[in-house]
Amino acid sequence: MVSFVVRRIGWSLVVLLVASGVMFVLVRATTDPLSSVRAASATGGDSDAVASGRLVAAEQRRLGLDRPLVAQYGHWLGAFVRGDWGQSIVSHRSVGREIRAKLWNTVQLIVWGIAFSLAMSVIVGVASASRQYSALDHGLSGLSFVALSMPSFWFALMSIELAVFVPKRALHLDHPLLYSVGLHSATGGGAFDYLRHLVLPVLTLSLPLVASWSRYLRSSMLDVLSAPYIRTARAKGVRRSRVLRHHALQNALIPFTTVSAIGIGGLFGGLIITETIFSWPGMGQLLYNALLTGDTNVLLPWLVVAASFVLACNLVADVMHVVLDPRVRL
Amino acid sequence: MTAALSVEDLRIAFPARHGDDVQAVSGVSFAIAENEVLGIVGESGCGKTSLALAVMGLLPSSARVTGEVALGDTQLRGLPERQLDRLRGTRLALVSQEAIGALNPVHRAGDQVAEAITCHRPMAAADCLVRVVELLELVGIPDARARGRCYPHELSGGMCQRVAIAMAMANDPDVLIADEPTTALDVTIQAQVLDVLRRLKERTRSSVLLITHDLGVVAGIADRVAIMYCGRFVEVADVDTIFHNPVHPYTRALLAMMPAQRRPPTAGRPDAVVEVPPPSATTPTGCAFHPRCPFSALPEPCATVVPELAPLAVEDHVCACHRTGEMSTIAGAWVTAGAARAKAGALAEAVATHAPEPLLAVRGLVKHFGEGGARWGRRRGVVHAVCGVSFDLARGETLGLVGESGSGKTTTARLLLNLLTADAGSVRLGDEEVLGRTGGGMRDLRRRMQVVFQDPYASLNPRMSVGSIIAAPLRVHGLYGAGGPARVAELLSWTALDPVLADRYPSELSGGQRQRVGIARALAVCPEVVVLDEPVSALDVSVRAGIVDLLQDLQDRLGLSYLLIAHDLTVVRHTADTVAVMYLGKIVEIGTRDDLFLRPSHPYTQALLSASPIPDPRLERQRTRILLEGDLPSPSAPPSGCRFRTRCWKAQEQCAQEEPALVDRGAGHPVACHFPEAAELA
Amino acid sequence: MTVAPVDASLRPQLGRATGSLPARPSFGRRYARHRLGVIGAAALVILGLGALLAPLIAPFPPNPTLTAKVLAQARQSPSWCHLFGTDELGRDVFTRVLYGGRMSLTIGLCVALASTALGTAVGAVAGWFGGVVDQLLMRITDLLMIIPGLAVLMIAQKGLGGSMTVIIAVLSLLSWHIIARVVRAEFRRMKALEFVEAARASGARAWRIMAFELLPNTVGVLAVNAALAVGGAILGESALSFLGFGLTPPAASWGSMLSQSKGAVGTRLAYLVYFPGLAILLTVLAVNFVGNALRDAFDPAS
Repeated sequence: MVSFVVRRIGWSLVVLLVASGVMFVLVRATTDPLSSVRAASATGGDSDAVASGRLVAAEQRRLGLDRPLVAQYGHWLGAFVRGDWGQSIVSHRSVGREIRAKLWNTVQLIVWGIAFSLAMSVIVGVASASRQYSALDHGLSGLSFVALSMPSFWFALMSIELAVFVPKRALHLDHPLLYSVGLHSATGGGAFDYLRHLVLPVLTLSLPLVASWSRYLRSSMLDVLSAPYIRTARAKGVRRSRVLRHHALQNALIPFTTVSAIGIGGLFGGLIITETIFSWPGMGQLLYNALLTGDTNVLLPWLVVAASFVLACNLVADVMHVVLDPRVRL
Repeated sequence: MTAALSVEDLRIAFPARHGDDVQAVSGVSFAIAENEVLGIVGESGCGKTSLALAVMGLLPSSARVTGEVALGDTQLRGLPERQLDRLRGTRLALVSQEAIGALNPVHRAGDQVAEAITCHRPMAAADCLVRVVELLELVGIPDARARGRCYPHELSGGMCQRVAIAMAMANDPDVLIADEPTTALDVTIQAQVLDVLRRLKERTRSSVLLITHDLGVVAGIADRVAIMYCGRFVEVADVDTIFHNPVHPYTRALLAMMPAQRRPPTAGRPDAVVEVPPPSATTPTGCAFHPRCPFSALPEPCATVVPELAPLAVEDHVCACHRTGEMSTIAGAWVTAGAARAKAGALAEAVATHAPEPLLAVRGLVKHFGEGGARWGRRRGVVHAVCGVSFDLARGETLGLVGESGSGKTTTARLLLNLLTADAGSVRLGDEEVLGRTGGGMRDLRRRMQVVFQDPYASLNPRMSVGSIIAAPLRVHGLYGAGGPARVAELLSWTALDPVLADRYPSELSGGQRQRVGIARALAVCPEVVVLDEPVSALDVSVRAGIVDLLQDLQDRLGLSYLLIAHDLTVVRHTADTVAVMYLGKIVEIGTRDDLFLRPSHPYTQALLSASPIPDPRLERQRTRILLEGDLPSPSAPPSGCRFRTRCWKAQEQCAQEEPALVDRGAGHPVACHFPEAAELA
Repeated sequence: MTVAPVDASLRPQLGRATGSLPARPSFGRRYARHRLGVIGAAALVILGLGALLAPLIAPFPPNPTLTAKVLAQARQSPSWCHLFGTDELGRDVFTRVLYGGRMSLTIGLCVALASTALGTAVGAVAGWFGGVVDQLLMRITDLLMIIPGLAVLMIAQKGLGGSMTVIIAVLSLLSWHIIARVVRAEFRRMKALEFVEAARASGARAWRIMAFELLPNTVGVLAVNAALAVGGAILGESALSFLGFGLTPPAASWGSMLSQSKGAVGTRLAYLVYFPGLAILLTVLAVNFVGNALRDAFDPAS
């Protein structure tokens, strides 16, 4: 098991290395690191054209942008591994520190989101599979179809309207039941306050996950429930509830681990939307602001951190797969 | 006397998603006495599994069940789920068909047996373990304590089925329902499992409901037999009567396909009943069997009135047939019509002995698998699938290649068709070497060598019409042209398929019809050699005869050479001129059919012959069979010396050290054994 | 009556295989069994016609010159005159939803076509030939799975501009791997089936087997996944536009309409948020229903 995990981590690092290369090319191809210099030097007018050209060229040399792309990548990678992630063009602070400051807030959101999604999908999946074609099953299926088809930002806007403003107006409250801005109230505030801030962002983030995961778990449960060993267990006289838990769910979770990893890959897209709408001071908001202000130095480290996070989640899913399935030989 | 289990007028219907309900069981009644074995025999779709599940109360809730089921004095129908749970596993137990699939893959085998005990009465872990080991030993699992800690995928099919039986017997049930307990197993393993069932029944005095499609399985173990067709019992009698004085035409048809062990193999072949689509799809009016029945010449009353089970002369013998009276006058099992074929066979044999030049010559074929099978960065062992196989196939002859799963027979077929690349060896078709050819050269040879596959469902492209499936090889070789449609029509008529089927899709055909399409496709390009890879083993018993017939007629008419691959000796004994027996990638015995069946000399051939059930209950009860010990060794680590020695009762020091060559040691044909001894088998 | 001799009664019928199952219902009939699929298809037709014929149907111009007369119409709640109300600038929301549909549906369909074509080609080759090609494909899809797509879209739009072509191209490049994986899995599964071996045994070349034997068998999964791709592309584009990284104004999709009106939440103008969002929801829902129905209708066993 240990050697499996070690090998798997090694492989993840290789994937991460390649991914960082791809992302390096992507960012270089779509952004101009000299745009601010150009903009600053272009204000002078025609007479300064030669001077500004010289200025840009000097800056290009200083940043090493005249060297071949591979060399630039090597240089960037070396600095990145040493912890030198560059400097924000806008705030002039270290990008590494910026990201670290935001990462913790994002991790809170993700952990709660994944935990909530997992719990909900297992409950929904098992409930609808154990009562296939019942009204409950049809209702839950319909809901998950709607959830899958709904843009999550629209869900967020609607939930703010319907769960924050409408009750506040209707009940003449001073403070809304649930908050739609930030992590804490400005006045500070305890676990309950935190929870009231957490509900809507976590729901927004989880919506597509719960919808797809519960659909998958339902069909995976149905597959398992029609397997002959379920009949064997029932024929032994094992009660239905225990068959569902002990025999069916344990098997249904095995293919689910693989699928959940795919879902987690899409999580960062949801984060950008969720954090922007709910003014959650995390990674998503950082990227959004960086793109709006043209802070191109943030992009590459941001992408690498996001990719590492997804890789880590995939790693956990793979380990879970091995733990759950005795047929996988190590 | 109250019966251990009685079922009264049981009816089961399933709502179809589109259209009418499907009636799976329509009015079945029976009773099993204490310690009695009732065999229910029927083909796929006849409702026998639904019947078993209805008794267990395990049908899906969508099924509509009426009628009464009583276990001793307890009425089961309408009993609350909780009380049923308490009865299941204690007084009523089930062993189902899928050997490995019946065990939960994520739990250890021993834990699953333990659960069968502890879910009914709490027990200390240590006591439970003792009981589990005792049970596992009872069903003949060696080294029970260690095997109990294995996961199901680490056990063989036979072992898994034993664990399933141990689970069912954990609380000494009054009634055991065994639903096709041996179908997924090899013949030699089937013999072992049936033996376990027989011993346990004697020990626990349980009653057994044995459900199977194979009459041979019930011959040695059942007291009474019920034949089921289309959701109804058509004939019920004690086991001797069923085998010696069957009345219903369907029973006779089933019996006709049994290997007639006592008859000389050349004396004839079984006759066919008409094939129709799966019965569940279109249940005919009147007697459900009448569209296939060779005796229902008149539409009245067979096509209009459903026959009831009516008593016959012998006590407790009932049969549902309008023509019972006429039927009883036709004596004995129904075998004829083979005379012409016997002549042709003799002719072929004569040709075979004189033919100097074989059409297909296979020499030293070798194939190892698994070099590239890496997963998670680790390599698996090398599987020695085929290790030096050689044989000749003469023009117009049939060579039967027999072996159980893992023997390498199917790999051999794929190798000589060049569908797999052989590691070594040579295959000569006439004057041309097959192996190593690629591209156009191979394509020309493929015209001369065709194949019919085992699974009639997987071997036809579901998105192509029957006509285009048959035409595909013609198109590949540029032979379709203007005469194409006529050729397709001709092939359809050769294989006795209705020409209108050309526009239909495989999903609209029955299994037998699909297999005919597969045969027509193989014949499209006029091959000389046809490889038949288990051509009937996936088909229902009563359909097999028709396919075997067809293959023989085509051979006679077109002078084809067949390489017939089979997992047991039943089909081969009717059709092959020469038989080769394979074990773990090697041929252990090869000889003419009569030689091999009448004077088998290799212990494995003898065991194989002995394991196939005989359709004669009296003989079956008396005879001592050769029961092989244990399972097939892993092909990735074959035993040293003689590969069969680990299961052989004659094994000695020499066998472990020296590999026996395949030579004639006085048996009249080549045998790969140090101590061959021809045995006259009953 | 007399009993016919066994031989004579048997012989004529020997081995004859008669009859067949009832013929399979036509494709249309199999599709029509799916009530939701029919409803979804109808909804799509209506939405498509609405978008296509927007210039004929729409009661107002989508981007009118902002005269005093237009501005006077601003902030009107839904009414018979303005079905979906008007926005802050007095533009008719119903009209803009119709025109927005043109953008969203075009992007959805183009991305689905492009990614299905690319994915099928790559998946088929990888599934059939295996080996290095296959390894390469799987590694590329691994990469696509860990790189956050929305972030890449935003960066690309920032760098390459918000034209329709850029958005379609980048969305396709980010989504083809899903179909490639599905097709690859199907090809690998079928490669081991006996009908493919039968084709090989009859001497058929690889391209012939792939085109005539395997590809027709993937129609079902292709239909479902293409439908899912339409929905995914519409959702992706709307998210992108919502964040302000979509089409360059004044071109407006449903997403960018929502982006402009997100400030209306909690105010009297909240209705501005309802309709474009509902339009997206209904379209994607309809596409998903159609996909499900297509899968069942294409299933050869149905």
